Amino acid sequence: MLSLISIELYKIFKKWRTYIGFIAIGLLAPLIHLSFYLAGERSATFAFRNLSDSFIFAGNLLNGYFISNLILQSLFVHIPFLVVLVGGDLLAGEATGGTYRMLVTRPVSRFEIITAKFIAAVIYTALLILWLAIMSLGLGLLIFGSGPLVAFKTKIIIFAANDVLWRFMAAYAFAILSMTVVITLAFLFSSLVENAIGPIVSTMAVIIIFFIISVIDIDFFNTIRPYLFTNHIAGWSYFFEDPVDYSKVLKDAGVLAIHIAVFYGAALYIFSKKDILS
Amino acid sequence: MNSEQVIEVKGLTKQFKDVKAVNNLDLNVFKGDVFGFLGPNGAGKSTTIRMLLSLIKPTSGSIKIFGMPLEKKRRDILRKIGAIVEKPDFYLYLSAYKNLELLGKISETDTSRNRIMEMLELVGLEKRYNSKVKTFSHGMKQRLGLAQALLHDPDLIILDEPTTGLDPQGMKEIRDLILHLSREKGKTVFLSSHILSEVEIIATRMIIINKGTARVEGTVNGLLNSGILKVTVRVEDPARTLSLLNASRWADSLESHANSDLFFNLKKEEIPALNKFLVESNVPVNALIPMRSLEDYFLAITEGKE
Amino acid sequence: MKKIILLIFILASALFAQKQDPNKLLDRVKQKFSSVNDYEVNAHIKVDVSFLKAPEMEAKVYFKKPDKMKMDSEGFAMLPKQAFNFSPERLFKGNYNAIYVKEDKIDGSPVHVIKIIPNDENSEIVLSTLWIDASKDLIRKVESTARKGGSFEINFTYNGKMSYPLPSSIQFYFDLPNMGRGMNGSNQPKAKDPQRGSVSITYSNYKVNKGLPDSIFAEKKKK
Repeated sequence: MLSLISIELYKIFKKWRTYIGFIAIGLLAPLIHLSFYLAGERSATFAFRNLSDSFIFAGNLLNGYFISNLILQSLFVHIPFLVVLVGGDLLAGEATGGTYRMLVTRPVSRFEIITAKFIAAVIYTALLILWLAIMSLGLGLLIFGSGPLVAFKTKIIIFAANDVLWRFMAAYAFAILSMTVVITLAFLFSSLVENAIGPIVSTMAVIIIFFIISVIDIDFFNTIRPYLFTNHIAGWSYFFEDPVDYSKVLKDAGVLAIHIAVFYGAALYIFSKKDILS
Repeated sequence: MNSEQVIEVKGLTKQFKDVKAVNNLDLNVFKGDVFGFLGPNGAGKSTTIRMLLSLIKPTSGSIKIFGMPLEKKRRDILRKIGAIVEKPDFYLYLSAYKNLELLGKISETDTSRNRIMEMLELVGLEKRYNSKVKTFSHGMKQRLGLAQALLHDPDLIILDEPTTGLDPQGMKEIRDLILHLSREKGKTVFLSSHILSEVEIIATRMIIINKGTARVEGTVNGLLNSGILKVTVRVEDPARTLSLLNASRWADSLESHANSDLFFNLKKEEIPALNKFLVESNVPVNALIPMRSLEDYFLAITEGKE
Repeated sequence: MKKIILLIFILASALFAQKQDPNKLLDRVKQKFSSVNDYEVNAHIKVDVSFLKAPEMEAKVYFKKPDKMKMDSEGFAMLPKQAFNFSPERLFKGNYNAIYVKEDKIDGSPVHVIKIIPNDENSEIVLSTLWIDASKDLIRKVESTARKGGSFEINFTYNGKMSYPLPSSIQFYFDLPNMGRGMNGSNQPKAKDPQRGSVSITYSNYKVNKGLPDSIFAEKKKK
């Protein structure tokens, strides 16, 4: 099994499309750093404009944490579109290439094939998020240094500098879980068809539709919203609240884990029954 | 015939939505056979091979390979099978070497550099070992396909139309390789083809299937090199020839005629005698074409006449 | 209407309690504070407000006569403007009418209660009440009502060992009607609620009259 997983990873990382996500993040994150570097300290304190009549401020909130939080918030909704490029190709790509025949006629079970691919997909997702962490948090701390983190939710929260790193680690871990749902959905779609475009487009479509439903304030949408996985993938942001509401974190994580299990199970079922005609 | 049965297929049927691709097919392949699996395009050859390799689940019927039921002992069976199904497809973005290495690892076989290079040499690709497969011609992929089928030293080799798209030299090389595997290494080869002559050259036993059903099964010698031949004689003056013939002992052998063609059913050794009779009767013969009945039959189904 | 009643009340109480000259008391406070030419102090700040959650913050506060102020922080720090510069010069600057209200006690120490009404119509403050330590000429407490609405209260605590009239800690309470509105875009449901809160500042390691150079304050002020 380990050998199968390493083979799947090898195949993933020998494909050009795999690097689109890494390149996108590798370009965008430094660009955001640069823009903040040029904009200077003022950019981090815009939230306090309304308070500047009554308060005076000292120090600097423009630090690696601030930018990393911002990057996480702004890039997070786009990362699904990067991971589906790989997820949608995982099975359909083998169908298109005809390599299913080479793979399935070997002495490995379909369960092993699916599971190895799934695990490889999770590892890819984790690496992509890790890359995001390096490019935002690592680079941010390098350029701007550490400091207290100011976060804006229902109120302004300032976290002491020594109270931030673990929040990011937890948030990135949660983000891996969120993106695993997305890649597993693409994986499921990928098991249905023989061309990678279909699953990529349909996963994107599902996510876009769910996102749209999530922001339109209509009673009907409000009713179904809790059942959409997109409504739970931003659970990482609970770690930037004080105190962290772990019941919400666990609930979101639970919903996501169930989605992963169902998508993976469905992909496994479909692939096991599938007649390979490609 | 060797009694050890390698493939035993009974009542194999595959129903796709509205097509019965394979219908109640029986197959018996014995150890050491080069088994020709002959049939026109669309006869169900590929579907059968895919079922033998568990790519497709049969609708009904049983498959035993090496005496084990495929459904239950799939892994043990596949470990000892090397196969090319339809055209050989590889990971185009990987080198020939890497493709073999990955596939070998999945088969849990020796993937040392020596072994892989040995395989690449066997199929004449050793100089291109590091080239990505996307730069390969069809023939090269076909050779690489053989290499991957043989990499794990299987007992049974299933080849689906292995010479398709090859030049005559390539075809000959593959034929030689199959004969080598069979005669010197004692491998069992299951070979599908839609070309009778190809099967005739290398196969020991064969089956002809059409529309998913077995039509003829037996040894190649028994099927092709005995019995009655259909002989076409093309003459200048069919009317005079016919009258001459009808008065001779050849009247019984004459089956029919059309334009200047006369059709006979003859034993092999009768052909020179007929020729002699026509020459001595001063009948100008433009052509004398013997055709084996099986070939005729096969041509007929290939052309969709049956 | 409210103001007029308040004014009448103040004037009335002033009539009865005119034992002390409030201006003299205030002058003595100013006089005492004038011994401080400059100082540098570490401030430990705790902010407790509904619209913002912050950890305890550390800052360095600089002051130089007459009203140069600066705050520095290695991390981040914020202070209410009113609690930032608490020099008497700022607390009761400009023209005002001072009215002696009464004597009172804070923590057992006698204090004079004085009301100040700025004359300047544009003054941020419409009314302040000062509690001044009777024996040490120190401001113990200030209550002010701002022109824009809202009010704040500052409580000063002094360390007895300090020879300068500088507090060892400040408790700042405020009640502002519209602070924080829209600070988080549209996502600010409680923007119209009055914002109450408190800030407590503990000062330590005063360095007084060490001759701070102007360059410390010259740096561009951050907003």
